[in-house]
Amino acid sequence: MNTFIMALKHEAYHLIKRYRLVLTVHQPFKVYQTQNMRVILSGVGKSSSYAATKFALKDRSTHHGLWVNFGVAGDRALPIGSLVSVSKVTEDTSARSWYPSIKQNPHCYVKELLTCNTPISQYPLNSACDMEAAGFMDAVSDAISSEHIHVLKLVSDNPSSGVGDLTKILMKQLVAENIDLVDAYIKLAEQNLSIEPKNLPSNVGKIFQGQHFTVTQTRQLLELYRSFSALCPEETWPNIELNSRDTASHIIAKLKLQITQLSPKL
Amino acid sequence: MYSIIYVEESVRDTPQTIQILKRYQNAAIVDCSHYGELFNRRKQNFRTQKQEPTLIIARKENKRVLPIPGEYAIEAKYNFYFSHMLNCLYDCRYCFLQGMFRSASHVIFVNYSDFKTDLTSHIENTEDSICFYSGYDCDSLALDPVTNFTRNFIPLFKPYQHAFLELRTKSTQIRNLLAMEPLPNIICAFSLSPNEIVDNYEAKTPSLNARLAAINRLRDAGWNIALRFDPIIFVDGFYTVYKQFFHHVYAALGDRHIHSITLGSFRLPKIFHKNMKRLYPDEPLLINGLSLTNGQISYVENLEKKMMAWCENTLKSLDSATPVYIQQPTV
Repeated sequence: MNTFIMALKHEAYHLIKRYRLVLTVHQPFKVYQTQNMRVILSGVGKSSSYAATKFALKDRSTHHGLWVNFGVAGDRALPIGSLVSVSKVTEDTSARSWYPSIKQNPHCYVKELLTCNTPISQYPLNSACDMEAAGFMDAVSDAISSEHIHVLKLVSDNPSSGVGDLTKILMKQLVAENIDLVDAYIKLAEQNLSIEPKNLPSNVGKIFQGQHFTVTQTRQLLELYRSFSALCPEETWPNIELNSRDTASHIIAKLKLQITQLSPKL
Repeated sequence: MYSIIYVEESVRDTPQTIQILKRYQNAAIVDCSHYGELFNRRKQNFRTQKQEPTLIIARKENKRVLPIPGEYAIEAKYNFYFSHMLNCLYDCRYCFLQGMFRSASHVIFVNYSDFKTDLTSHIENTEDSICFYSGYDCDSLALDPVTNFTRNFIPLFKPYQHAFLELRTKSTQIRNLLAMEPLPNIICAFSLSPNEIVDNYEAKTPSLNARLAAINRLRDAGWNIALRFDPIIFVDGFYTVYKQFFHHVYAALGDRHIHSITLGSFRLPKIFHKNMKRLYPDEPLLINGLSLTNGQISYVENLEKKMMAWCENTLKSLDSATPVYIQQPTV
């Protein structure tokens, strides 16, 4: 499942509509989701973005999808409506930096981003600016593999059309006009992600119904099963005797022994 | 080849960096303050990154020249390694770099003059033989057209007869070498494997025949050639596969002089193996016949002994003149 952390409902409106997301959580943050995607509305500012991202991270089943901070940003040079894949996020107050993943494509600019505490009218020289990305990056970087993290911004204001001119309608309109580009970007970003199976195949899982495996033991069992499958791709399960007294650790030990005995002979 | 290049601010304007960036004019250039911010961060997936590696251009601040473990030495009294680059263009499934580094990004350290100062100081500190290995954390030649590593470092060795440089490679990027005057203290060491191994486990590398052709061109131009059969990997029909392979190599080389041969069976420190298995849980190579002994994962003792003894004997029967060194970690 892909997770989008967005500040405002107006920014998220067309994503919610297009992907038919349903409001599933009201508090502490509004969450709109389907099976493959969710949007979490953080509110404005990096603290809100940090808090919403931390909240979203509690659902570990989502950690293998993309994590995207998407929203509007200001920029000195780019025209309104430009889509930017952010290459570096810097927090203005602390000068801390993070490096989201970027996907180059012809319809998307690659640029650095400065996260400020308040809306600004003096745009930075070489970077776009927003108010949330640093909070998102701060929260997500320790939990999610870097290849899954993206910051996407739509330029909503620049020196010729300042932040004061930014309306809810304009925000909605900008997202609507670029939603196909965002969709294409996400598909491109998803291509390289390795999605490892996290569970035993159901026919093998059935063997252990009624047994209690801890989280670590479940991981060990899956790893051993995959080792066995790699060595004996034709077989579904090793020829080991299990009885009702076997605990989870007995089963793991028997499986380990079986794999060791598969050593090749010269 | 690179669509994203990170550049440390401290080397942004060096001629070496400018030269490299010129080759990748469509790449997105991103400033960073230290390569470690990207390369060493905690949550990364080497396997995912390997599909589309980014390039980081950086400065190596210290620990540029390091001693190698004694058991990996060949002839010289003192042995060191240095890395102008981290990671490799190739994607060999057995490579320990996958387990050692968190990131698959390619890092090029462009402060060559600092490296050269350190190398010179080591060389001039001794009159005994001293050897430097440049292909430990990377392939010495694979990116040579971009880094110009050979053109920058080989001339340094010209005045010092007691100092040797080993270029360890699977690459056929030998144009720079062919354009230079060969030096007797430079060893072009080629890693070779049977086609069965190249096809299955050495993704993106030149074929065995392409490597042999590169060897012959270098040898004919006067360069020292060494053969590295490391790692020796257990495969079905091991004896047949490796027998044909060794014969094929010697048939291709003819009577050309070989500087040295090293032999080493597949082995990994436990922690690297653990990391690699996490990346490739379905890879039989990382499971088949391996066991843990004294902190090293390697083939079970009998298997390893038999494989190595057979390889050594076969090589000696084909070539009794070239010294064969066995590469085995001592614990």
